Amino acid sequence: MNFVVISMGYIGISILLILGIISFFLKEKIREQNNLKKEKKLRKEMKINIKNENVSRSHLLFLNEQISKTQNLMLFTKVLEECQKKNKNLTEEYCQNISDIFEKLVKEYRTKSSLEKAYFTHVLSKFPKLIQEDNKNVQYAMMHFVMDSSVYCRENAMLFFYHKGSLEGVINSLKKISSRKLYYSPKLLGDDLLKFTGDKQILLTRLLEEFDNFNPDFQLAIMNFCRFMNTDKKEEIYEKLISLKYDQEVNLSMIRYFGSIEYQPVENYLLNILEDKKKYSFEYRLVASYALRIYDNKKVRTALIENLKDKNWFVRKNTAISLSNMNLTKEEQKKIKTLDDQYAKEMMRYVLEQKKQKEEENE
Amino acid sequence: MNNILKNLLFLLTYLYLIYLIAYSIYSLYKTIKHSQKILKYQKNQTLSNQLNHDYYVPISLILITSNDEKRIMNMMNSLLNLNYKLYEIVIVDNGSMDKTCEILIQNFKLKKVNRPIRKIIETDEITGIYQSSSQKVNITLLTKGKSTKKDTKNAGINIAEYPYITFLNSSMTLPNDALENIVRPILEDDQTIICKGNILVGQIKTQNNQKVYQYPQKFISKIQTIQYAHNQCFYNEKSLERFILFKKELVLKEKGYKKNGETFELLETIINQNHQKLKIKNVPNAICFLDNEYQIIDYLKHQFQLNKAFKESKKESPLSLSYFFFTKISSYLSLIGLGSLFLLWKNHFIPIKDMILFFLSYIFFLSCLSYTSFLIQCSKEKIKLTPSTIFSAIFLSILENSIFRFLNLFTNLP
Repeated sequence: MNFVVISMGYIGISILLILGIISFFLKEKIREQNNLKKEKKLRKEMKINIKNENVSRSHLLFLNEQISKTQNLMLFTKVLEECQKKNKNLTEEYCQNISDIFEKLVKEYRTKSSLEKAYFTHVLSKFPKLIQEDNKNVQYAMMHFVMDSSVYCRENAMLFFYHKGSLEGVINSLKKISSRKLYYSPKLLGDDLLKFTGDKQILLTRLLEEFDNFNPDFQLAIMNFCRFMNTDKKEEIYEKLISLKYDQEVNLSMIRYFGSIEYQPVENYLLNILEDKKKYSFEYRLVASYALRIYDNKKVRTALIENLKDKNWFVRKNTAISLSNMNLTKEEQKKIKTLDDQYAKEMMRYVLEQKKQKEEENE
Repeated sequence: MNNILKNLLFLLTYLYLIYLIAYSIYSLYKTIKHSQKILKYQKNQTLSNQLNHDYYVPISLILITSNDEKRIMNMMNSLLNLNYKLYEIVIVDNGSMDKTCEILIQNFKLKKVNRPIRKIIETDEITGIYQSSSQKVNITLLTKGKSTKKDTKNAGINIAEYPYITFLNSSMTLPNDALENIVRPILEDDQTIICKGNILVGQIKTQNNQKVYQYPQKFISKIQTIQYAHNQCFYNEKSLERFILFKKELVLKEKGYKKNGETFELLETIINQNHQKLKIKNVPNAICFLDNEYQIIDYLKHQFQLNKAFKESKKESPLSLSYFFFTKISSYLSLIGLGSLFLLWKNHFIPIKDMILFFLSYIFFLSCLSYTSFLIQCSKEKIKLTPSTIFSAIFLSILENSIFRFLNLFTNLP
């Protein structure tokens, strides 16, 4: 075996590797410098046109040529963000003035990769005034983005509708995503609905009307939205809860809603959950025992004291929390102390200790 | 030396050289593949424009401590400075003899509570539970007598309240955006049950709006900088310290740690038990800083522990050829090969100059690979490379691939 040949091979490959690294970093450096030049030019052009009420034709042509490339669109967004910080109104006006270009771009970006589409929709969600939603081509393209395979593209397209305050846009998009069974995290959806800039009450009413057309994940998000909004939709939700036709998570979210908004007819339903251990799983007992904390009366307190003996650790904890928030009579306090269940007493003692500690810390 | 023995030694030497060449080709392939992956990820990151959200997945950070009085506050400060909003800190103290617990109790005003514990996983007795809710997040301290790493971690799992957990130790610090980054795959798909972040030995500091890399203080820890970067390219998961987010439900299903208590043990167990159903995501931009402050003896112990734990965790996995040759029996092959070479040289059968040239070029080649791995990591984190960082990395790469790689041969033996 020729050691020298092998050694030369090693050295040769190593040198190639080093050259590869150097060329990579040089390429990056050159790209950075080019971007800086472009950014400077773009900033200068945009600043002049934002100050003027009308956008010059040459600027429109310049933008048309430049921002169809995603890299340039990123630079454009960066400058636009800076301008928005300085003067929001003028920037919004500028966005409206260049909306023709973005309406053309919507078509172009439909054929690009998911990642580029996601970026484009991200820009639209940040600056919703860049396009006029009533244009049919735009509506069609936005629906295309909403149903893209990329979760980012879908989310950003949805954000566009929320920020725009478009009621029909939100409802139609959600129906499409739901019917196509595309993934949309219920947590994100619940969070996003709160970003709707139109009338949230009307949005909620429409969502509840269309409730049965959505999949369980969406129903869950709508229920969470309802709870966060603290809206009085007690009758509608109670009807849905007792109909027993929804998914467990959706039902639990409805019970949580009644844990933040008191509604007397639901009290017996909740107490029934605690009693009927065969029919209801521990998740139901867990949520119901916590929801009952705002229904402070003798009947509820007695049921909760009994529920302290539940075999599930979490149910015992939530029951103890609820009891610690109620005005217990001396007789009831004595009853808890003399319970024949060690775990129940231990949990109650711990929760009371915690409460006391928090109060001391707050003081 | 008789002919048979001479031929045998030549055969062994040739086989060893073929092995080294195969290893080099495999390393080169892995480094290039890893670089491509990182560059693609980086491009995606620039465009992926974040899911802006106010929703937070609740996370329990389980911090294992043992005689860490010097470092504990540094770690705790990094945890309390996280941008993330919904997390708790569970500290499990494994029988510290120093003032670790006192420091924690005093600084965070922890109070002893009689908290009932759900012992889903059997562990040794807990001697005390302290809590505080006066900080930005809830802090719980669990004290117990000295026991194994696995027992300590399992105690942390039992007491963690949130549905996602991650394990840390006091040599680790988290940058402010670490948790935000590591939960991102869960928002992309809530079926994701494990998110794997990365470890970076040293620190990244921001100076004049630019990220600058800072090597650890101790020399041995500096060597680990290169080693971890190389391991991330080559083995992907061979390091004792890992920054991984687990769905607790799955960890409880597997009854926590069963063997050595190393994070990759749990990872392997979960993968082996549920292989087809799992959604595991790599999150290269979720990083955790590490500074072990090792002396040479600690370093060797660490390497020995790492190799042992790695082999143990791989026992139930399907055996891959690359793992078998380049990890499992690599030390034996290398020692036999080096022994044969030595004997041939001693008996003047091969020229010493050629051999030295070969090994120097081999070390140079591996150093180039390690150095590339380090640069890729820096490029991923958008770190500004200063001349001192570059030259130190070159020097450390050469040192790691010559002296420390040779020392590691012995730590890989049973």
